[in-house]
Amino acid sequence: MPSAQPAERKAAAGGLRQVFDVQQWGIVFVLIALVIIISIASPVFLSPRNIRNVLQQVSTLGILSMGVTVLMISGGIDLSVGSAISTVAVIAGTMLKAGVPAEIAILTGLVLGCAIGSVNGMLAAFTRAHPFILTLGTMTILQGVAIIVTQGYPVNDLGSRFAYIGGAMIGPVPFIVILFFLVMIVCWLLLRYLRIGRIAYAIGGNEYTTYLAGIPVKRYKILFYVICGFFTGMAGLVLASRISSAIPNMGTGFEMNSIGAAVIGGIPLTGGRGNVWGTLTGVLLLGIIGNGLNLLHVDASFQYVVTGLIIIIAVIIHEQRLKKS
Amino acid sequence: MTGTAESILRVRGVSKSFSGVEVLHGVDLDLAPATVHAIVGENGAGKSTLIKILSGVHKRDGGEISVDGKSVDVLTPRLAQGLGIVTIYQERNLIPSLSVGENILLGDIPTGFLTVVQWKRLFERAAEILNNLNLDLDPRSTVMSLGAGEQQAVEIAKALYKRARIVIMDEPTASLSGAEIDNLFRIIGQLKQERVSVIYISHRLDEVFQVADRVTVLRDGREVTTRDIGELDKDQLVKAMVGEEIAMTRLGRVAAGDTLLEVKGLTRLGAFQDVSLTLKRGIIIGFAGTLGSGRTQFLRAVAGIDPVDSGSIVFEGLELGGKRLGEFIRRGICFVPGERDARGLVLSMSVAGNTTLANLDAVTRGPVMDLPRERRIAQQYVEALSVQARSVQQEVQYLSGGNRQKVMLSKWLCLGLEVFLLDEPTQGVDVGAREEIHRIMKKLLEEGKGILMVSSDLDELMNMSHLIAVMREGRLAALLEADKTNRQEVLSYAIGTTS
Repeated sequence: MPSAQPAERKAAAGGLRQVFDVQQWGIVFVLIALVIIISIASPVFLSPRNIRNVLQQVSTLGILSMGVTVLMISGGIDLSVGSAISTVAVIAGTMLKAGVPAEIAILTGLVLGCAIGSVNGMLAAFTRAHPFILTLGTMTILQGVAIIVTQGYPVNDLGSRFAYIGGAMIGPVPFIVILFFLVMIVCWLLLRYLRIGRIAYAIGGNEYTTYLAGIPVKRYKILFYVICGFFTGMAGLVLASRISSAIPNMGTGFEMNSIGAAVIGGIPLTGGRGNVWGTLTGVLLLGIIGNGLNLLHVDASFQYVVTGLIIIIAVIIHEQRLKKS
Repeated sequence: MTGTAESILRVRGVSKSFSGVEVLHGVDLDLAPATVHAIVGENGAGKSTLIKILSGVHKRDGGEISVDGKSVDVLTPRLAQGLGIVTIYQERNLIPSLSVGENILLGDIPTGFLTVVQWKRLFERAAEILNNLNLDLDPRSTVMSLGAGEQQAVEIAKALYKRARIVIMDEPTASLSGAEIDNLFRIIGQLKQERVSVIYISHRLDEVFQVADRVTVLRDGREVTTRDIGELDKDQLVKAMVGEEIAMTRLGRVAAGDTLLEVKGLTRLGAFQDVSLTLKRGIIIGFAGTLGSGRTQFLRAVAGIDPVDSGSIVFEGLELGGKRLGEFIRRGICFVPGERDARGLVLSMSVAGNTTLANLDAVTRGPVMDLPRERRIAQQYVEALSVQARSVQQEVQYLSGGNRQKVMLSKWLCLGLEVFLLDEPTQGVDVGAREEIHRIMKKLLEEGKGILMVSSDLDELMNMSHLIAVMREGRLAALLEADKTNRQEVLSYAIGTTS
């Protein structure tokens, strides 16, 4: 019989690979190449000011994408995160407008994110329907809720205390950039060093095997949706705080960008693989494309085209890698 | 029937290597018209590779193939079909939502004006084919609604419609019940009357003697012998398959220890009824039975995976019925599934991750993984079971079948459980790994564990069991002592000629 043991081609990266477990060097090279090309075409690109700009811009997507990473590694998917961002933002915004202290509004936003996640999680765990479709449903519902709450109008002037989150600087670094990196470290630790992270990989890799091992799969699936919901809520608050305004459709498109970042970073839709570093690469790639094309005075519409192309190329690269091994 | 002149298929010196390892070393085969020619051999003997070459899936590295005396250069699946070679694989190749008639005529659906399907003609033609095979099937019913045996019959009808002259059947009875098997043999008889030849691959020797005219034995990628079936008896055939080096040793008698597990009147409606047995320490009970006998379902229920309708499962004096799966595992019962890759392993995870999956408590401190400890435990089992892996960090999907099997076993061994429920523990592994797995099982028995094993390999059952529980149609038909029974007796209980 043919022995299924082709030589492994991945031993080369050695130590770095041990630390970061980077499975997507191809995409890292694309990112580096992009940085080099844009910095040659536009000297402003690598200026501290612009780097700060890029990081600030990707922070919201970054925080969201880390939650999405945990969820997708466990084999789940959540299309409702974009609408959830809008919902959390407008509800927190409405509370702030009504004079509720910023701390309470923030706490409510985070709890609301978890609640939305738990609903998605229960739907995914207790029904046989695919979460893609289920969360397509909740996505539409939440979009409706966000509009109903504010009757379609934006909620402006959320107060300086709340806006502080989005504007604060710690030294030369914006607070939300630090928040993004903290979230990333937390998710990295969770996935790599916690029992729950191991179970995420196991469920994504083979749900049935994990169940046979005596692990309460359904409970954990719900938990992963809640984790994703928590970071979705955080992303919604950060987004609203940055512009000190909550708009009922402000989260639109975030679901696709976050799933895109995760997929670019090497997480298959079936789950079981990937890590936060991959997603970070995806987030940066999306941010740099936007920023770079801006600096080069390329029509903003082209950003969509380029982003789409990058996603397609990334997925093809990952496919090839898996096929080889 | 031995003349090569009248062969419709002639294979000479066909060889094939995969990643540098030669798995077929110059195999010859002559297929006479209107003949059922069985190819037998152990796992890894090269049967599947040979038929994949004949059906054009794999390209041969060397040797000649001629059909009707005409040499065939490069064989592709399409070309093979054009030559009238049709292969019926274990996994069905039908479109479940379409009708029987559409499936049979697929690719040649009669159409009229504006490519409107002529349903009447379609069903008439399909009915004609079905009649030729004496099949009582409605061409209008959907394939989805048919049983496994009927679906297979549709595949054969489809092959006949394509004017197949050589039908290759790969383990055709694997998912069939006794009655369905009889029906298949009747259809094979019809095929012979239509001057079609059948290449029949099966592990089940009794079937080979029942249905084949001629038999070729492969061992380690070589043809050992080809004879008319009447020239051999079963012992000679088995000897040819296993070769001389592997002696048939049965498990010795042991003084059974304390009772580990007592199952009383266990019933799961639609799967099995009223099964009672007692498992003592150091004992292995093998389960014989055809597919659909309910033996795997019984194992799953005893493991706490499927709920039961009545009866009790008492483990070391403690009633486990109705408890959660995790509780069964904590108490000491585990189920090792048969479909290793689909159910037994997380292929994208490392050897270490798979080893400790059911035993996370041992490798965590609170919520935190103790990764060095995990690696140590995995390393221990890699060495104990001589798993061939680059390191415990290697993903399981890069391991060979036998090594995967060992990793799957490690997962349960490292828990230190008492009762192992093994479903087809050596299916799809090579001879060496099989020996290794049997060695592990014997060691477990020495340690005073108990094993329930389902195996479709009668030799394995006979050699690796103390007691043989024969199940038929959901009931325990007999509980036989392995050293006082024989294959015939086991088989006759399994298919219901003795009760």
